[in-house]
Amino acid sequence: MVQVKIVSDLCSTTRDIPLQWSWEQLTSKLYEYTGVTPQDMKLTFIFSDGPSMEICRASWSSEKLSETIKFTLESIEVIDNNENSVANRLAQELNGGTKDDATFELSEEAYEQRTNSVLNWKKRLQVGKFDPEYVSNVERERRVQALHAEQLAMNERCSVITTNCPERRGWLRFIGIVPQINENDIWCGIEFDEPVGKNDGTFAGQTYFGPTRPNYGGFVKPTGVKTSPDLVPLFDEDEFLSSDEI
Amino acid sequence: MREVISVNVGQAGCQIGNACWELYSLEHGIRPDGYLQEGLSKPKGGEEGFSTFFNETGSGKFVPRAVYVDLEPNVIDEVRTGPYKELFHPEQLISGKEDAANNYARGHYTVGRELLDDILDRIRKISDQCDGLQGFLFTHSLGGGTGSGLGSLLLEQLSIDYGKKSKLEFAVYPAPQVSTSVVEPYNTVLTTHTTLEHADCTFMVDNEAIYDMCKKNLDISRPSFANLNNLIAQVVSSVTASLRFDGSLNVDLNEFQTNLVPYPRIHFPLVSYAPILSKSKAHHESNSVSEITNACFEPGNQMVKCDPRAGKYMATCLLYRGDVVTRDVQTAVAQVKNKRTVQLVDWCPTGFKIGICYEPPTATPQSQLSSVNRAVCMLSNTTAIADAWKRIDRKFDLMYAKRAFVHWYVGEGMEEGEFTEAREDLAALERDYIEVGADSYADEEEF
Repeated sequence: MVQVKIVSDLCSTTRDIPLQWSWEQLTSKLYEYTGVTPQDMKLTFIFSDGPSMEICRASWSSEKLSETIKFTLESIEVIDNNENSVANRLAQELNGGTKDDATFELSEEAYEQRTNSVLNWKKRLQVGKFDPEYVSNVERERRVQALHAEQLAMNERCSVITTNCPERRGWLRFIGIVPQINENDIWCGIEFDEPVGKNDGTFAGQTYFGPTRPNYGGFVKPTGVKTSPDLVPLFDEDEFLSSDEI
Repeated sequence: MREVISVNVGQAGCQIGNACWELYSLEHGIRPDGYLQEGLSKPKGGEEGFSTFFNETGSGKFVPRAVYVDLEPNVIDEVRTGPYKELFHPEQLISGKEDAANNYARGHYTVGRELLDDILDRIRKISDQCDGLQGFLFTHSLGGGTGSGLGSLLLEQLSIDYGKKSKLEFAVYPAPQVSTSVVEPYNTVLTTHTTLEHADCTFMVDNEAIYDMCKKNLDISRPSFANLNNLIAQVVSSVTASLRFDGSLNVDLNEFQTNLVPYPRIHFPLVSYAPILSKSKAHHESNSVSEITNACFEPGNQMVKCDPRAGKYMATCLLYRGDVVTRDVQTAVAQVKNKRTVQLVDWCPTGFKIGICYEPPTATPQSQLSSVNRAVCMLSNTTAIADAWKRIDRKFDLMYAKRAFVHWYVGEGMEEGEFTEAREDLAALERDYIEVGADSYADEEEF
């Protein structure tokens, strides 16, 4: 019995391989691990104390491995010779990320019908969006945002303060609804002075301002934004340039 | 008496079991033959705590309350002939002759079912030795045939036989770098579907994350399964420490569920552990309570690869062990709560539960992990862990669209409908996680 590393496109595992196994036994085990059918297998045996060995057969004999294998087996690489095999097509899709339309989608209705779901549990407990006060709280929040947005000046210098982030500055380039985010909220589109945003003014394929340089744009909630011509860039551009020249 | 029975299923489950029992024995002063180390008059940890995991026989020998189960004999034969062979009663080690061939259906319906009665008999005998059984602690993999198929069958049966006794799992989640077989995504989805309503709390361990920790933190250039399992055992030991040692600020087995699981399906807390230091680095670290607490929020210390900053927390347990004082813990927790990257679900009560066990962690002789005077294990129920399901579900879909290898399962008498049923359940689980994170007033602030 030897511990052998088995590698294919879809698997990498260490297994005990008894050398009294026949070739037939070995290849059917390798099929289990790798999904490569025995008739399509090209096997490369790598030894710690001898030259590696490549084997490819249409059918595998009942002869024992120990008859052929004379060195210390370290690993076996399993290659699938059949381009159209299931294993090869899977490997391509998993590694190359070809567009997959295979994704299982659970419909809204099917999920709503499940009794043991978090959705139904929230309904029963009247929490989250099922809390009678939730709707009024959301609307209050929305009004606060909208009122604040009215006081902002378009195409003016601005400062942005959000949680998780130090103050950022830039230009206010957009105020309005971004349907791809949600139907009702007002968002501010900012062109930042530095690449501290999440996009270039484009969200889900639609360009709302700019486009700016990548990551110089972003959408934030109005309450985090202040506008004023006094909000100069936080870094001194001249100083940067002069130090560059030195 | 609050006994816990460990059930180790399949190759990964048994090997993790080995690493755990080696560690438990060292921590409690038990020799590999089951007798006390010289100089001890009673096991370390106190009568009450110690007896949760070990049973004392009339002759002064200590026997783990555990069963090992595998369909093929190799792994368990290693226990039977290994250094700990005398620790276990031979009947605790149950193995078959024919393996599950990485196939859930063989573990669940055909080969595995034949062993079921033997295993349940053995568990019954062990439970008869308990005064007040708390529950069961499973270790198994989700991707292999035995761990997934037979593991879920056992969980189902224990629900029937032992009603509401707690069932906790440590489950190895498949990772591409160390994937054991091509059908891991099928096995994972099928077993998760079957166990979803039977396990109370499942701690997932992603082999890829552990692999990276061994490489980066422990400087092991080519980590072996033994290296991975040693690290996993250290984590399992931390989680069970407060059950095994008296005088701990105690966390009971069912308290994990009470504190961490707001809704039964959402029972997959993310586990983080700190410090993970190699012997050469340990001297250069001060390893304060606040440092190790903060380290738990770093991705490099997580047992599953996902991004908690993008998710929301429902609950957190911090389990400290070793030289730790409550005041330091309070300060550290206050710091964490102020972290802006820690977002809580705001429509359900969230809390920080603290456990302290004053016994420091033990490093096994062959482990690369340095011995430290304190450590912490964080269990946090975060919506970010849904990433793990997304990854595996996508792979399942790619394979199932081609009906790739489905005939292996149908050939064992499984109905194809079980694939779609399981996949739908997992899709609902993904939706459940989205639903948990939804409905905050101040939702995403920036796009």
